[in-house]
Amino acid sequence: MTCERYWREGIVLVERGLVDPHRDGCPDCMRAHASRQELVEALPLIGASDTGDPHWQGNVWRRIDEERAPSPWRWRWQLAGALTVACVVALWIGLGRTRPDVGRRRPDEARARIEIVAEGEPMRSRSSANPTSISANVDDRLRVTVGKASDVWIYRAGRLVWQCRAGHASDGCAPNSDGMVVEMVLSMPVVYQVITVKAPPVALPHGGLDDDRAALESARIFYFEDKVSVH
Amino acid sequence: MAMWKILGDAAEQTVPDDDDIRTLLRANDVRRALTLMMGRYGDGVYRFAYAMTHSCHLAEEVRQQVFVEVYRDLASFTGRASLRAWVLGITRHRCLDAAKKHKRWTNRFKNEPPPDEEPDDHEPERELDRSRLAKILAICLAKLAPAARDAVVLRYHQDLSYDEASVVAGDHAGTLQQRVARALPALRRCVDARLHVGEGR
Repeated sequence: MTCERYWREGIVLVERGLVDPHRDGCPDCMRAHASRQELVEALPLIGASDTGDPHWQGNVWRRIDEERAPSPWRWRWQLAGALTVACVVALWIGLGRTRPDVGRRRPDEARARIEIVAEGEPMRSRSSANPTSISANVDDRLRVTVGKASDVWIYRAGRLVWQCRAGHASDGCAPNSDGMVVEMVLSMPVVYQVITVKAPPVALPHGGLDDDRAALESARIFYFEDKVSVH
Repeated sequence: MAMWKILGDAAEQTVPDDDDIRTLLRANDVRRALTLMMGRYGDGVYRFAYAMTHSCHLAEEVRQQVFVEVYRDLASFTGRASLRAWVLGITRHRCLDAAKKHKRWTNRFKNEPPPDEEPDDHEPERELDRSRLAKILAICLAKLAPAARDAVVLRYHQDLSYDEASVVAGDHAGTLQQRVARALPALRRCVDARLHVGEGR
């Protein structure tokens, strides 16, 4: 039976530079050690007779010089790269300018004009550039003037009470050549909210102010909101 | 004085502590420093690369690439390790890269790897000269796992101590000892098997 201890344990001791007392009394382990020694002594000879390309140093210098010298094409690539970057920046800026202001208020030209009318005469009115809250009395009339293609939704205490589709005439909704005029009586002492929106989805409004606002914002659609406090 | 000793029949070489190269580097004379380094370590790098890749073409490619990199990074060489360990560290990385690239290429194009270069001077006797044993060893080395091959080559082909090898390989000396202790029996079995094949012919 052959002793296999050397290849399992004895070789680890050898690699660690430790003495293996077992080996000296074990002929199998001594043979195994001699065999290892033969391997170890032959290993440095791998590739010893081959020195590779005799001109390798010249090749190294050529590669180094090629890396250092600017390629005749390099400036063209750099120019192409710079032009590409410039185009991307220009596109980005251009898109940024035309990109809709999602979830924000509409530009001024799209905003509604809101007036409070008492006894048939304009009593108080404000332009859309003013703050979004205005006060009125019970039985005053609310007049909302919008441009073309804008819908008007009027909520009372957060619930939809009036809806005018752009271009559609109905009770209180009067389209004209400039857009549309919406009128309704403020019958209760609560807060009314006026939403003006361009081209909303057909499914809207649902009827609740909060839900409709959220739906508009998730659909990334412009809208403008005004408040009228009625006393 | 650091000694770089090649065991066996090869001639013993003694290498100075690279003071001359360090002096040139301090003087910012990188080109002359690289020239000295190529003369001093070029063959060693080639042989190391050959032992790692078992391919003359890859070894030559690795050697040239290594010295281009050495030139590029020589100015930032910190001197914490010896120059030789630093160069061997770069060589080792490039060998691993080359082996991976070669494997990918072989897999992609379904090319069979080149047949093992069997020594053609088969002798009936078990006692082979060491150069033939070295050729068989090169074939068997290529069959080891890269980490095991790495450890064996650094320790016994490049004749680094385990501490020096651990600097190059980035592993603990004890880990390398274990790898070598596991790899040598595998190498022995591989060599024996090939010797038996040789005897059978």
